[in-house]
Amino acid sequence: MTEPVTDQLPEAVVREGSRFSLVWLVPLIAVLIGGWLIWKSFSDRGPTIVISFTEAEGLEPGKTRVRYKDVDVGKVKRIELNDDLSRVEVTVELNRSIGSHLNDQTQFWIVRPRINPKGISGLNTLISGIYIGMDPGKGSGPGMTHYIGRDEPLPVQSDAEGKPFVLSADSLGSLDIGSGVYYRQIQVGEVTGYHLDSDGRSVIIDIFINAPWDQLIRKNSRFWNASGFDLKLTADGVSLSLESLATLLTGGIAVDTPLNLEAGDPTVGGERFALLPDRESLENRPYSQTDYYLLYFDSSIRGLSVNAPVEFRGIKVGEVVDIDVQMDHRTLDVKIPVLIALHPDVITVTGKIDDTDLVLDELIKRGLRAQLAPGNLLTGQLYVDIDFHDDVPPAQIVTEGPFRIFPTVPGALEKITRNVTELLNKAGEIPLVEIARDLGDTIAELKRMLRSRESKQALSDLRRLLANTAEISHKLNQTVPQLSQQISSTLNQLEKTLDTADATLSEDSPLVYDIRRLIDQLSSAVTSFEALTDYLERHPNALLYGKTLETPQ
Amino acid sequence: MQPLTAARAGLISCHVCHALARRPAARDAALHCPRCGARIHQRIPGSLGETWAYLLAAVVLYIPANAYPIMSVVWLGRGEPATIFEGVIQLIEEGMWPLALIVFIASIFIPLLKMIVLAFLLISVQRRSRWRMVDRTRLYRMTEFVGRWSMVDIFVIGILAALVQFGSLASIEPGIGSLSFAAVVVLTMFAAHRFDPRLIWDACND
Repeated sequence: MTEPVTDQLPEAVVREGSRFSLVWLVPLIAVLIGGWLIWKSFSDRGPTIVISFTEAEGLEPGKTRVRYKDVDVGKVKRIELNDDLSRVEVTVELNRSIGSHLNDQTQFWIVRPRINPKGISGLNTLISGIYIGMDPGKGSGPGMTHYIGRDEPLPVQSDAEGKPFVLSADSLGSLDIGSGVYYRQIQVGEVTGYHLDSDGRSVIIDIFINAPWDQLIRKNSRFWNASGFDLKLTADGVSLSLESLATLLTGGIAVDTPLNLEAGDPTVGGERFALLPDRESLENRPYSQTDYYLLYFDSSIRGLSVNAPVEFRGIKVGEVVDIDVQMDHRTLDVKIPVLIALHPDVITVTGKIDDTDLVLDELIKRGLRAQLAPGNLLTGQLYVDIDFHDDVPPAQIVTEGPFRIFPTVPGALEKITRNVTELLNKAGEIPLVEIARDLGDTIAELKRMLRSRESKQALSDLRRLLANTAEISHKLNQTVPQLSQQISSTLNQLEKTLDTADATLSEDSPLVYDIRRLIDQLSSAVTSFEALTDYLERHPNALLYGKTLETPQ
Repeated sequence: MQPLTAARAGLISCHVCHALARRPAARDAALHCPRCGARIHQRIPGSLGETWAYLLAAVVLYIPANAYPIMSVVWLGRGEPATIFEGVIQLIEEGMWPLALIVFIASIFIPLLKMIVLAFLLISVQRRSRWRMVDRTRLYRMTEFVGRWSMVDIFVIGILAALVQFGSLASIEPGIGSLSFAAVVVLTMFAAHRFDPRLIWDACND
């Protein structure tokens, strides 16, 4: 039954087709995509670093981001305590793009909402959660695997345009990180940090001046503390001045570049300036450097007091800090040490000094010495004068204890006193008694001589001589009037002669007039002669043929 | 006693108009229905090869589908891209066990199971195994039926990403993992579609 049915069915049509199946492209593409994804995830993976913070408040592993300029550059992977439980070690995986910019100056800090003189910052972290801020920095060293996180945000990003400067002040005042720096009441920068000097004697304040105002900061710029306000009560009334309302609240620094003799060279950044306590101090030369030296004086220093000036040729370069008296227990020698503070940067130095100590040694070699000098002769106030002295014994700076000893020479007053003493000593040596005795002898001899016959004879000779002289003068008296009359007549004649000469030669005399006319005629003659010679030169034949008529040209 | 099959009788039926035709002698050629002209074949041509191709592609893409974040939910500026597995763990941490189970089964377990089943069927057919052929056919039917439901994940992500766009308040972004996951689902569906279950029974005729 089945056989005939199948026989009646038509046969299927045969058409040739391709055997290649494109379906195998699908897994190929899948492999390509998968491979690309794997390669991408590996190539995007940057270095894993550990940042240590004092606390990890708000940090969440796998969630908290590391951001630079508000761009995610990494993620917190792990948070652990360190071995002695003092700090938190945060393991962070950074992107590859930022990983290559890590260096030894890279800084990390936790961004939280905070209120500071600059205002309120990090408010966005209330919603988005806190994150780790970073600044790649400009260090040259290679990237590290372990960084110490900052507790405070970095005040100035390393790529900020501008220059950092260092100020040294006696005290911090009401300044704080973020306090403004004002140039003519425009904010040009801010305080970025402060710390005590290594010797604890001054406060070092780091500031940053933003571009383009950093060009305004010159080597002779003056910084002063503009915190608070300045109330003055004078005969003119009450005057109140303040830099800005912000400085009243948070403190601030004002800067200006006065016109003065100092070299106003451009700054390169990092220069050290003195922070003056107020605007009034601008008149004094600022100093940012203080060196302490010990002076030893042998004589009395009566009149020298603490804070007495130390001057170099009349310019104050320092002041007396302390005065003491020392006695050696063995030799019982008494010395008076005087501690002075010198501000070497008050003196403008042209060029650059590499080693101040070497320069000072050389100056000492050339005779730089300290001495006591009278500041006021009436009150007897003394000051310390530093100047070059010739013919002083060679000396050098030696260090004793914490201070260096500056060589001294006896003061001017001291020198005078010493000279007078020497004079008096010499005077004491004069044999007065013998002199007096010799004098007596001489007088007696004189008396005896006067009484002798020779002297009487001499006196009578003298009398005769005088009589002769009187006679001669009498004769002379008679001759002189005659002589004077003759002289007088001669003079009269001379006067007349001169009068005649004067009349002859005077401006309107006939002689002069004649001479003038003569000169005039002579000059016209010369002119004609000149014309003649000219003509002859051009027409030599005129000598033979005479002058031809001028033909108009 | 072997049953009579169309293949044995040298007959092919058209999938479109269901006309019955005799198979010509040239076996390698492409056959067309004498009535409607549609392509006809005794078994899906290259079924095993194509299924293998789709399956391998799906296996490859299954890795990024799970390793990469499938979507990131940003709520008030806070939010993290999460992978499927992270999402499951998050649900467990929040105590939503049933939901976590559903997500785990639908998004991780089913696609994986589907690929394993397909691989098993392919290998067993190639080995001409006669082992539990009815069960294997049932397995295939289940696989083909359940495969499309994995796309629910993708639909949810697509709808959420389109609807939840409130700027910084809240937003949902599909991740690279969701694309891979969609590809895995589609590829496994293709693989199941290209697999010819009649091949399972061809082993009886040997």
